Amino acid sequence: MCGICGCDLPEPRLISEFPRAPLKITAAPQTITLHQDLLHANRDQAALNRDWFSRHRLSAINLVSSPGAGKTTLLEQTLTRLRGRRGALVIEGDQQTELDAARIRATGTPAVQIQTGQACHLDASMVHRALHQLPESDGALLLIENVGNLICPAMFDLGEKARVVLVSVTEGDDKPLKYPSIFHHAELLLITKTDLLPHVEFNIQKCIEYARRIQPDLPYLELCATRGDGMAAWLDWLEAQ
Amino acid sequence: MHELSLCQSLCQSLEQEIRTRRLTRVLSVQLAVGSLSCVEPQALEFCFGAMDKAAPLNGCKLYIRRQPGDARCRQCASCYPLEHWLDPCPACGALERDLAGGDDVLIEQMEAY
Repeated sequence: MCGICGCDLPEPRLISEFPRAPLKITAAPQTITLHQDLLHANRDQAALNRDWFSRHRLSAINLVSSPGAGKTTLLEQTLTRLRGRRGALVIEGDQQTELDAARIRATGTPAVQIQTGQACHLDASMVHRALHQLPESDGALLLIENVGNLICPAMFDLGEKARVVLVSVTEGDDKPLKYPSIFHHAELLLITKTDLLPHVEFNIQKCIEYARRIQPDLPYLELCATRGDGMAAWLDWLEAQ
Repeated sequence: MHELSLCQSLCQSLEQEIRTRRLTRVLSVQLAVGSLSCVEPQALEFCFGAMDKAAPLNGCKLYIRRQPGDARCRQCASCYPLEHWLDPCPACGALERDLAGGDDVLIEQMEAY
């Protein structure tokens, strides 16, 4: 019987099953209790990142959303408004291309692009490597734009101080119910592209109610980065981090 | 497909155990996968089977147990296991709760010689 789904087909022959090393049993099998976090390597690296951020007074913010929710546009507008107020650094995560880092550099902010290739999320060691490529900038804001994906980034601590999840009004207002995990791990919900509300069927109150079914205390802000609506409250929130 | 990353972490952890405990072969490993984690057990099984592993891990069986979260209702204070994010409190029907665990993956034990 197939060991994967229990169907009647024969067990699929897996690559890992050959070639087998000849068995030489030297002792009876023993059961060893481990109780080890599978992601402990990532958590350990995230703790090192967090320590680095704290020593350099960097406030690291991890921005997550589905692709196209407006993360890069929000960063561009945020960085333009932060100029002269607070130093900033950016780490960009995408599967391919340097496009987003180029947009960020155009605002005058140092940015490193991580191309994740096969991976669908940033992890703590990718962020660690990116830190080596950024100039020292004590007291700055470190904005990390994660890969556009509402599932995988939820599990990977980067060492950030806060995680911000964006939902644009061009998406469904039921996103929090469909992708609950990422909302459970967020410190702030940002509803973006509010200038498009007259043209779409998005109900902000519903979206917030759904998100609070997952995390009852989740604060939220509404904004339109291109028009500037709600940006002052967002900058105040960032300032408090 | 973060399950592949998770399987790589799993193999690294097991290889570390093999080295420190001077083991010859791992016959099986048991994971407790949080019911609220973003991990699909079938995808995990598939990746673990398909991966090219170190010789002592060849043929290692993977057993997966689901681990619910520990929820405490904010309305009536009863404690209950949370299998799905939107399950209400079984005592009073409220949705608001504080939550511990259920979103991680633990390597519980392994059988080896």
